[in-house]
Amino acid sequence: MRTFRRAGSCAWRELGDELVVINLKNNVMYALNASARELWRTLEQPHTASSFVEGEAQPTVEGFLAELSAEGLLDISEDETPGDTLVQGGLPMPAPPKILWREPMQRFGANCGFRPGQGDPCIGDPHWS
Amino acid sequence: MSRAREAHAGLVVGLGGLTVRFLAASRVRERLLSLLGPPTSPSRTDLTIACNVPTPPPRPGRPRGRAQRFTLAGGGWEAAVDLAARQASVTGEDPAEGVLTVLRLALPTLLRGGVLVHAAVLAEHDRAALCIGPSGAGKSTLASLFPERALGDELAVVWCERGHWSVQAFPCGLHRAGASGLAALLFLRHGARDRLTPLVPTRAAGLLGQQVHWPTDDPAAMRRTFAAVTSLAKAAPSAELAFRPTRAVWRTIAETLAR
Repeated sequence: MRTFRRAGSCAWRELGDELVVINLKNNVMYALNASARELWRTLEQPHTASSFVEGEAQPTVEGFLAELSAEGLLDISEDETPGDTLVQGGLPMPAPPKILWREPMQRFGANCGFRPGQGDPCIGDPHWS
Repeated sequence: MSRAREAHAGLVVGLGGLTVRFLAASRVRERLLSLLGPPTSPSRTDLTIACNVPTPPPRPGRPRGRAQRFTLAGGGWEAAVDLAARQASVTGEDPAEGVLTVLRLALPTLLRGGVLVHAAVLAEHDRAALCIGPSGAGKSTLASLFPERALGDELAVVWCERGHWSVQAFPCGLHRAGASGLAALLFLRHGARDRLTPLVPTRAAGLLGQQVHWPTDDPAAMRRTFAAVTSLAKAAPSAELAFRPTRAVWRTIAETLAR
């Protein structure tokens, strides 16, 4: 049985009804809507898609969990024992869970703030050792 | 006093909640003071930068992780940085330029509860608007419209101490030394009229994150930066500011500072 759980390489925070999460392996930040936040809260433990919702909504949730997994935000396992059904009748999901946006986070931000002639030229990447 | 003894007397300045100690001759110290503001009382040292003097021996027991050391060079200066040891050396005819580059590269890793961000800073009565945006968004335009209120027009350090957010311009482009309390995040764009559009915290976090210098080589520092970005997006009122380049825009900015 395929189970999903949060990847250890992520950091996240709830902001209002939504949630932002960063994948520290590729430094991409994501915002998740309120329904996705409900899922995320429970994914500290491994769960199958069927443990969240029943019926017609199940393929939607399964697809969303697969999308999060493809982004590296969830780990998939075939071996782990899933947690219990979370909420009788399923999690509250006023809308389909979805990623609102995704943005790469960079060492120098969207642009290098130093321009030639300003006294501190842009020198590119330093040499790490 | 000999040059060596004079240099080791040191100069200590505060930057983004960090304490930076400079070992340098008086001529270089004066240049650094003009860029970084008045000295602070020496307490703990977060980073020591030796300018044209020997680097002191590293303190024992400091962990040395991956990607903690780097070298770089610019016009007439060279630098070697060891972030794990919290030490750097800059040599050259004008080491101040190298010092600023070292600080710009080291701050994202060293800051605790703070970020380095592309932003102009406009402040009045210890309440500052962090005016955030990429090149062309209007940072320099805004700062030049309000030279009496502008602390900086390019890069800023924002940090939190005891629940209070402060902002200080990083010395490049137009900048004045000194810190201010932070009152609002404004994401800039040029527009046909002056208008504020409030942003939800998640959107503010995303837009802020795009303009932050992330310490991408250091996962622990990345976590700290993420925590700072999201805390800031949660704590400070955020809005998109569309503006025309006239001084009338101050009325709109003042609205956010008054809240």
